[in-house]
Amino acid sequence: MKILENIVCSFCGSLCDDIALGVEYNAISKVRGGCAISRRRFLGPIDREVPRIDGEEAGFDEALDAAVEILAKARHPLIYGLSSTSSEAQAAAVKLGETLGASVDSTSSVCHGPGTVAKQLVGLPTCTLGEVKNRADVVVFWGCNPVEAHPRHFSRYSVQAKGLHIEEGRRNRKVIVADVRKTATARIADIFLQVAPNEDFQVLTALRAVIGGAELEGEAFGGISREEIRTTCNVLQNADYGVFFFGMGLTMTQGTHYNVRQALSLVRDLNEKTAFAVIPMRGHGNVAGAETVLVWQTGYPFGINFSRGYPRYNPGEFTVTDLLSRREVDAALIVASDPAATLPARAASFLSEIPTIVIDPYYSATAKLARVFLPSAPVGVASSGTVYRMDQVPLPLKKVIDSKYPSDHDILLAIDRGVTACSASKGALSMIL
Amino acid sequence: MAFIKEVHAILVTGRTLRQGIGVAEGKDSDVYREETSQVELSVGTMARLGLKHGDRVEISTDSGVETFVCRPCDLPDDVVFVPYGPPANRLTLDTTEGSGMPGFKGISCRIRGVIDEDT
Repeated sequence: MKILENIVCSFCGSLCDDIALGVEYNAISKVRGGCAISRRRFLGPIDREVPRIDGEEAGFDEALDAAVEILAKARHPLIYGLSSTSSEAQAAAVKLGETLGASVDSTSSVCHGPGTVAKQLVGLPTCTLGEVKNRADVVVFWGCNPVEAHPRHFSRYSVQAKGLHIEEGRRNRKVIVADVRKTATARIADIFLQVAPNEDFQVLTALRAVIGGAELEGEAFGGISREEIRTTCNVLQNADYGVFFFGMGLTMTQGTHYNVRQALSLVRDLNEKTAFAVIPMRGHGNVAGAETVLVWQTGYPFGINFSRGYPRYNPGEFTVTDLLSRREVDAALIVASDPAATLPARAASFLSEIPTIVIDPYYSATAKLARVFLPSAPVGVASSGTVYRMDQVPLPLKKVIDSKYPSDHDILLAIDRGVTACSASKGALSMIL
Repeated sequence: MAFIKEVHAILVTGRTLRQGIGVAEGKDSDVYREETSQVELSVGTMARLGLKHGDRVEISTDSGVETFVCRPCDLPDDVVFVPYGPPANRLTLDTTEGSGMPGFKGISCRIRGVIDEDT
């Protein structure tokens, strides 16, 4: 058995890079390190799927041709997903979007998109997870539950992790958790702020007011008493180095980007008193990469449209839920994502009414309703590439076993070549006619 | 199917560890199906509805109606929690109010205990 060290798990945004894999006979048979989720991810079989057209088994090239034909004929196709694939594939998807005049959106629009809008308004005073491990003595988790969603975040980076200036790990840290529910994360907190549903903005505003020197007149704010607000502000201001992690408890609740704007503004205010940084708790393994790649390729992070030949950006118009709910697209290419299992059913159901193409290592709920399914080599297992951690640090993924299928990247490039060839032949035909 | 008492509450959907394990194992796995068909209710809400762990409840929102298996949890009485998944998606809202973000959390809902008429 060959042992491969320092393998990156790309399931969640923590991108743990200390996994050891035992490989024999082109299969992963042993996983050392990692969490309960990553062990299942690595040990799961690959290449179980077959290419399909209308649910029936087809040849790979035949399915690829069908995908090209659908996209070449479409007037307004959607390219969506991208958060569980490599940044190389993300760049190829953007290129294809430009070729097609498509709308391009990532799962960011249904997770941290509002946080990104807030970042554009306020800025993001941020740091790496290495700095969190080595320096952070006050850690805030607002609307996120890393114990269940990022299982090794505490031990590798933020709570138990021992660092240069945090020699005793948990004993050197104050942990503040704000959430509607008393989650598994909340149960380890020194201070737990049980926020009333949809009232995060009020609590953040009260905290900002006290940090700014104001006297609070009310008794409670968003379910948090004046005394709890004062106590929390004392801990925040007295940090040597604080870090504010936020999750979808802020981005998905009423107020969306206004909530995050207030959180980022709080961190900005705290930097007048001490050192404070903020990191979004990104969920999917490379959703941070999707935003990074889209920004460097188009200038915009998600919700992009190429129909005028240049990129336009408008969350609420070119974002997946809006495009599907308003039935504004006539074909969809879904890459490494499963909107049929993750979007509101009323929006996702439209995917079964238009020709949908799915590129994914697994036969997902979306693949089951797709016109064309193209299985791919799972990234970080049977194909290599680059992924971005939640703190924007890029990490390389290794190919550890072989797949009989190409990578997402290679499939997207092949579709782009096919669509470009179709367009060229159409152009030649129209000149002859 | 008949209903016993009903209450109004705020629905929150989100991640759980078992749901994450289910995603890694495959969405046709037992762990994924079981986890995504559960709803967490406060002990107080379960008492008001006359429910015990494992009973079925029907939740309805402006988007749709779905039946879940209930389990008690440390929650405020006016909050219910459902793990992300297809059953939750029949309740979440596809309106984004210009933000691109659908309604996944903080949704008004009605909860009714379900009793089978033949039991």
